[in-house]
Amino acid sequence: MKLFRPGEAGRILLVAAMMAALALSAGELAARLVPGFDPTLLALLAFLVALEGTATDRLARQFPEAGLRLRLHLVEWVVIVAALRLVLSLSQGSAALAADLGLWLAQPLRLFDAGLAAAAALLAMTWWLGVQMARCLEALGPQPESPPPADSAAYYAWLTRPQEDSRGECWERLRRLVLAGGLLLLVCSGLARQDLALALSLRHPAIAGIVGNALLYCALGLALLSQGHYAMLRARWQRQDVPVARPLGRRWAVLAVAFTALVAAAVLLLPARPSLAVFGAAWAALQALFFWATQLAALALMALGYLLNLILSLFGVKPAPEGARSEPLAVPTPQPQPEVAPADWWQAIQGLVLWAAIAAVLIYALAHFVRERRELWRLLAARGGPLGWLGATLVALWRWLAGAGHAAGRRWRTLVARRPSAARPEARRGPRWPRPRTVRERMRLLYLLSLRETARLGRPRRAADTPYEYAQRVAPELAEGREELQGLTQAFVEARYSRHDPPPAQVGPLTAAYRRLRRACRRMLGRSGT
Amino acid sequence: MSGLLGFLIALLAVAALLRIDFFFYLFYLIAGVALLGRAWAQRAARSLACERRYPGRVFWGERPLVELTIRNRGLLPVLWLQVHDSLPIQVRSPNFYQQVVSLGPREALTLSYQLDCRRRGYYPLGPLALESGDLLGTARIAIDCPRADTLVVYPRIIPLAGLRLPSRTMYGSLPSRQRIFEDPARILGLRDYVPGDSLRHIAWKSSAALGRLQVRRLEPSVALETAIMLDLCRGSYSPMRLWVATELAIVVAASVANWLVERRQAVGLATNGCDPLAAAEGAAGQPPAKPPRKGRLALMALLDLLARVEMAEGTTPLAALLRREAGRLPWGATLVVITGRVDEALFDALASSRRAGLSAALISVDPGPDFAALRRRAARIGVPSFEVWEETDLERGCLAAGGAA
Repeated sequence: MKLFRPGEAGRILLVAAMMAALALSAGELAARLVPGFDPTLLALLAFLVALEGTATDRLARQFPEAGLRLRLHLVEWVVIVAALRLVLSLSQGSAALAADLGLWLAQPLRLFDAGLAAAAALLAMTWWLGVQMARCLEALGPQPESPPPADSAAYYAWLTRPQEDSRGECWERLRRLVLAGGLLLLVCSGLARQDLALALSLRHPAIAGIVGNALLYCALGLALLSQGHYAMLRARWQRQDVPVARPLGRRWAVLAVAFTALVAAAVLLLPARPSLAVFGAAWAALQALFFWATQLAALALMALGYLLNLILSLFGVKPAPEGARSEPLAVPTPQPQPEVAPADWWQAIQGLVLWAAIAAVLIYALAHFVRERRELWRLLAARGGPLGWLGATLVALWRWLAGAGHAAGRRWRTLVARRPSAARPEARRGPRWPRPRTVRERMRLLYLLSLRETARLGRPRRAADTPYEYAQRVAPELAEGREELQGLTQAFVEARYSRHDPPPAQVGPLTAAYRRLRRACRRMLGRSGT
Repeated sequence: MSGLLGFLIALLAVAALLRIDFFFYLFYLIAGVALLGRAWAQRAARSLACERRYPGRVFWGERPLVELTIRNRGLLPVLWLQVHDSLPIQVRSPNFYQQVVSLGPREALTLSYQLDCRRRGYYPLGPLALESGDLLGTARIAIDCPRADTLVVYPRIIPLAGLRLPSRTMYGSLPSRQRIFEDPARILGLRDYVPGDSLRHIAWKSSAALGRLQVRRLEPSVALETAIMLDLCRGSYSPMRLWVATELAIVVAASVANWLVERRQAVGLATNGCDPLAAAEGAAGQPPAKPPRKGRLALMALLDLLARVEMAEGTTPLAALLRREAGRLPWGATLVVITGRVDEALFDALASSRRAGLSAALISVDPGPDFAALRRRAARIGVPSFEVWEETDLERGCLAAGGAA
């Protein structure tokens, strides 16, 4: 199954570029708080995260099990956070990175700080926005027609399915996402250029100049909305079987660009300062109104107080004297506790354990990250241009690393094999099974595992045996677990030859059946051994 | 659009609060793209003109080409335009034509599609609905072209092998076997004079040349001034063959009219069916009778009516129609009565018309099992009768030999 449809790459790149602009504006705001911080790398990372997030989201939807999807996203985020850590330090210069590396080696907990959390939250937001926009664009485009088999009952249901169109909702959602992202970007960009406290006074001078990332986001957003609308119309026409004249797509793009450029050129002729003057005047009027309203309210309160005083004096009640007010209770300040310095060896063990955990998590995440996106790397490597070069480089790097890893493994095994105490019987290890991903694969794997168990009993499956023949031959020889073997055989045949996807709920009972069969086989093995 | 409006208000607020000039420009840009895009689409849609070109009248079995010309008279391009032309299912399946196009400034585009006319009728073409919109999907503009076009598909005309119709009108162009209708303008040859011959028939020049009296031999001929009486009353047909027989009756009427016009005879038509055009114009729905006329134009007028006319319920009975129209026909004219079932009233009307000096022929397209008895009874009053079961009967010449007077 392909991750991307033809012609979709341009729109996804648009989304990623918008996310980069958004991250850049947030980075500019952060640069005010952290002097010397360069937000360019953060924007680049946001661009890559948006691209990668879209690919991972599509990959995850191919996995039927929630557990696999969760693992995929966890691995993804470990890699993203690791890259973010490096980027955050590198953004302050290579010297800062070198200093940080030394600090992290000494104190691994310093890897995690508030800056990382804030940047991760920002990346998570751009990741989520990018994924949601890509999903909307995918839903707006033509849906692949995959009818069920013609001899199935589902085929009639597919034929007579109602022609619902939820693209309008997707289109609205895409528009809301683009506009919400745009608003966030404007606020961040504005605050990066203006102090909020000063801005609220409205007496600060106006700021001139082009805000590049805002311009980029708006231009790309308009292009994306235009393309989204076009995709929605194309899908509607495709569903209604309306033929479309060939040059429409090209003409749409040209007209959209020309029209936006024309409007932009016209907009440049318009003044901005008179608008500011209008708002300044409106603000002054509002302030004057507020002043007079507060004056009136104070006057009314004074009159009310005077009246109350009069009424109280009529009843003989006198207000309390000023000196009778009680003093507030003094809160005792906490005394500082003396710090207990931990022993050096304890810190070293803590650091070692923490680094080992971090390294293990990183290696596991990186290995899975690369392995699970094989198709994406191949796709990238097949493309030309810088992305193709990047993909080819990644593929080559991965092959080199994998080759080096295998070589190291072989060397280690050779070393271990020389030691007689470490030598383990090869037959005990058994074959390495590929990791199952789909329900079908899991069912096949369970059957193959049960074959391994029965083979250990001395009844291996012959090459000429069909699954049913084998089950028929072996089942009478099993003291218990016959039904399990037959059930597993039936499920395997269904998973191997049926055209319908087996339901995921079937995996649980089959796993339980396999476990019962394995226990039964091992009991038999134990009895025969004794 | 509401989301965009909210965004623009928020953008304006941010721009005013932070006093950043560029945000105002962004506000202008986004508002301009949205509003001007909408205005562009509306203005471009207003400058569209569409025209449908097609042959208004076609014969059965033809496949006419319909051309839709969409012209952008303005200077603004039309970003996208969905064209949907509704058509009757009888002439096209599926019953519409759709296309999405884009038009440049002053550009005209011609779209064409073919109809398959295999059923006679009077069909409306259209309405042509155009739909357009803007770049961002904030406006959807529907343009209706109110002009309704109609298409007339003539009934099928089957070339008749022959047609035996009685006539009492002398001096026509059709040869006859009855010598009483000899035509002095149609000379067959000469023969020797025998006593009793009229002196007016002696060819004096030939007699002088031969030296004996010669007499001109004249060919008898008749004229067929025919009125076709087409019965489309639902009660005249059996329910089993209702649709087939009424359509067959119309085909028979068209074929007979065509045969007569090809032989330069006058032909007229009266029917008790329903004409949708007359009904649309406020009349009762029964078309006025067309008096016998000669020539192609008369045939086209008859075919027009036969294309439109439909079966009617509770309409004037054929006998009443026959009595009414017979009074308007000249002496010697021929009535061709096309119906399904023949009842007593129709027999009485036929007998009356015979007594009034008219000839009549009866064609039944839904003959019952007692048609042989009916034929004998009709023959007794001098009315030849024919039975037609299907269109191939006409090709086989059942109207030339089937009816014995």
